[in-house]
Amino acid sequence: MSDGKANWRWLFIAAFLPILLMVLFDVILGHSFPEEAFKRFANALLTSYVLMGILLTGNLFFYAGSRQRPLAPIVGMGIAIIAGIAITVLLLSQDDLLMEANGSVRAQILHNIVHMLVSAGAMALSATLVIGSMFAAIVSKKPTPLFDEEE
Amino acid sequence: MDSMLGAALLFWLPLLMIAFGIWISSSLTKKYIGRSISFIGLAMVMISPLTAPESDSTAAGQLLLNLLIPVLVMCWGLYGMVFGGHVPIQRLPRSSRWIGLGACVIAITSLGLMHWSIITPMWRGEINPYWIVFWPTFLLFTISISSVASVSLLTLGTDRLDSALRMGVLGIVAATITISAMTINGAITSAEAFREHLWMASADILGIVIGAGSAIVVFTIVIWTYENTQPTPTVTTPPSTEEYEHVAAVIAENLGSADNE
Repeated sequence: MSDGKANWRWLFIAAFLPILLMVLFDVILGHSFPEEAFKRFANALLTSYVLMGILLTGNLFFYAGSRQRPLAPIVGMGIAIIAGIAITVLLLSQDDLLMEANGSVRAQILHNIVHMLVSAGAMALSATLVIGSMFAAIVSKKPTPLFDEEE
Repeated sequence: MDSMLGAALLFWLPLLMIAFGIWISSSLTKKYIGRSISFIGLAMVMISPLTAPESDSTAAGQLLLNLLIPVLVMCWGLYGMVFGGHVPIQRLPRSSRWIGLGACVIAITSLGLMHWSIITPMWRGEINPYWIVFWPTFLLFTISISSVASVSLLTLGTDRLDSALRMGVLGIVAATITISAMTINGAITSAEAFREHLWMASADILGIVIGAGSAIVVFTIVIWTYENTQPTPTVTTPPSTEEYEHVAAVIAENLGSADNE
């Protein structure tokens, strides 16, 4: 675990193993994979891709001020976002492929955005709790001096 | 007012105001303008179940209002826990660590009570549809990242076993709450319904991580491609004698004379 590569592998396992264990526990309790979970996964993926793309483009526009605001990367990101939106609309229009309990494509898109904000909010609150607790755990211990005081 | 127009003006516009305000406060020197816009937007989203009751999306505003007090208590508690420790600046009294811990326990307990007691967030006489999205996602993600935090403290830091164990305890607490919710019926949500939503939360977390990661990859490719098309910077001429003398003078001024060595 001393080299960087091994650390990343352990961190990846630490991130996903607990979730897999919870799901496995549910399977042991007799529950099977719900069909709706795939739709939720696909909707979450497409929505977060588009929203994160918009966020990054906004930052690109602001931080590119020192580089005389080049247009090409903004256009490139614009195309990538439009492609994401087009794929979302296309897949949502395919009957029951990605549609959840909503009557129209527009209603599903608005539902996806609000759903994504709620999930992202839950993840942000969770991250605040864990990062705050981690700092609290680190600073609860008296720091060890880096060098012994000279006589 | 037309219901769609009402939802657009009284829910979606304030939602955009929150994001716009955050963007402005991180971009401009006058941060209070952005913060004011965000605060007004947030307040309008929270009262949207009253101002635009026809819109289904306002259930999220109702949930935000329900969660406001536990979230504030949790943040206040974390502040006390961090700044009550051995920090070099703005250190609070030692007692604030324990008060902070108590506040965090109260906040998490109140979230648990929202599941198991009658204070469950409601909307239109039924359970708030976004509460059952929020709660399993919060629990699963807490287990996941406290596990990551624990492993990273062990592998990346030195002499961090004690801190890593504390993070492990947080993960175990979250896992215990999750398993309890999977096996014990809540006040309104049954254990079976919670397990169903746990799958959805797993799908949500995985989808959000992969989707956001894909956007970052695309962003990197766009920037990399653009930078590759740029001409190589021209080689500048070496500094002149006057410029060397100026640099030497500045260094001498900052280091002081030889007597101070």
